[in-house]
Amino acid sequence: MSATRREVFDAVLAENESGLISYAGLFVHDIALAREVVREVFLRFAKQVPIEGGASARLQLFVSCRQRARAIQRKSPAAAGNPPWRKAAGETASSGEQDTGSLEAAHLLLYLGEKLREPIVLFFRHGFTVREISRITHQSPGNIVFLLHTGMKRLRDNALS
Amino acid sequence: MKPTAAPGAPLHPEDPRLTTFLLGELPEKEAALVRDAAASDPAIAKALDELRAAKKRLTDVLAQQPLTLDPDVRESLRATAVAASPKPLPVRRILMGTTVMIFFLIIVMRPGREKNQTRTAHDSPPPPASAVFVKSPDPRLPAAGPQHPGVLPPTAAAPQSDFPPLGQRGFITPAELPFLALPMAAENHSMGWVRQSILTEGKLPPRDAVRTEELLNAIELRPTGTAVLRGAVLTAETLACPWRPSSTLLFVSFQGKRNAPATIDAAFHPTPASVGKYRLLGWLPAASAQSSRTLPASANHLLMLEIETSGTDPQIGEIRWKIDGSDAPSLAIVRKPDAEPSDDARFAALICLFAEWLAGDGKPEIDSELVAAFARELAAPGLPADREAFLQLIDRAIRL
Repeated sequence: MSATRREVFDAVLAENESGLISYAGLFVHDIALAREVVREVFLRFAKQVPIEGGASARLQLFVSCRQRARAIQRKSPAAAGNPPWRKAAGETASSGEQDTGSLEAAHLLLYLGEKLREPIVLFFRHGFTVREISRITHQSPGNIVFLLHTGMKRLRDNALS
Repeated sequence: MKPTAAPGAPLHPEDPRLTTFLLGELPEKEAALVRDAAASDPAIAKALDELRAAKKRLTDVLAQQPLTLDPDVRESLRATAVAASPKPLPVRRILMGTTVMIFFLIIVMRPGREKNQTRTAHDSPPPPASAVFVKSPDPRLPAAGPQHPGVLPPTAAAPQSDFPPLGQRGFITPAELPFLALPMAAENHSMGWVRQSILTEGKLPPRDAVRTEELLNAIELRPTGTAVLRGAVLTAETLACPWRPSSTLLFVSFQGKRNAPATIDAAFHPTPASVGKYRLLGWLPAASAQSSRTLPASANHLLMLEIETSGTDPQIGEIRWKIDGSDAPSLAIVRKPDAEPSDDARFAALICLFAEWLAGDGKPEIDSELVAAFARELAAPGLPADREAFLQLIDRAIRL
């Protein structure tokens, strides 16, 4: 029983660890803080009985991660002014880990507004469907489609040209 | 905020449906329209190519570097996961658990409820009382109003059963109904019916057996939001609606006076600018409003409202109430989308989600996967016995 539970947990951890840290970083703008958020999310998940993997676990983890990351974002507004992609884009270069993958990605995230950034990242980086993004962000599917459309148009017309 | 193009309308190069098509989210009929338009209109074909290139670029650019937790943290999490495995219960815990379960069953099936287990309309009392407007001379709680706010007519597709007939409350707008009287009493048959059907008969209960308000009040819960005290206690908490992301749930608790019953007239007044529509979950209209206004001593009475918000104003309404005819301070209802809801509020939302799923009113957004995911989120060692029993009930139901 323990072995199975451990295997399920390991699989869920391996599948979602990186994505969750990156996603939490969108809100808390600090990779160490993002890791702490993800640790709390997995701690809660680890206590569930029974524990199950798969797509619904992934969705649940992202919902939980968003709640916790946004709670921290509200408590530490100072961090919001200095996101890592801003550093990566060269505005306030400093040492420290970046979660954005590349300078190009950093520019792109900087270019997108806060509203457009999240659905774009959830769709293109994390591979969620519109319905899943709707559940994670608590916005209607129609609104998510609109935000994705606007974000893609903005990037097509400017940032990616 | 939705894409404005109507289905079947002619396409243009800036049409949101082009994006939706590329994202694989367009219904097949509309997708065929896009393919035809791209084949016949070079401007649309060009717009599609550009969007396709943007999509590929986005996917490439946003591919992430692997990020990991500290190895010690990972190992500690693994240990927690393994330690939380269900273990064989020692004899003492089994005895305690059995006692609690027996107590719970006695509460659920005590005399007055038991005769309704026969499932006849004659033996069962009518559906829960109240939800009609409270008659009150107070201008803040006007008596005029529809007798059956938001009640939908029974659908022809509803399966026949020998339970008392159950209608379904629909949404109402603040313009249609500027305030909604809140009932103060729920019957207590539904949990027994649902448990009997799922656990004993091994089948999902008929929709008429599922009374959201009765299920909600069968388990001890309390919101942790703002409270107003005046002999009796009014507490309310808002949280995101698990089955409709654009909606907010309002979880309300009235706790009676310690030593005596109280007559409570309460109404929810939505803020028209920030509420598109709203509904009370459960509670069919009944003939007698008077009986639903009395809250027994120390009783805890729960309600849940689903509110479709519009606009950005966080205040979505207020609850005005009177105790034994005297005004009590009203309670402002403020939406806090980013606040973490309490475990009790989340459990109350789960009960309502489960009831909505069982009642199955064709809501495509509510499926067994959503119920299971939400239940899993709330499952943890050390839950009170009634909550654990309810999670087991859900587990059995989604496997049927």
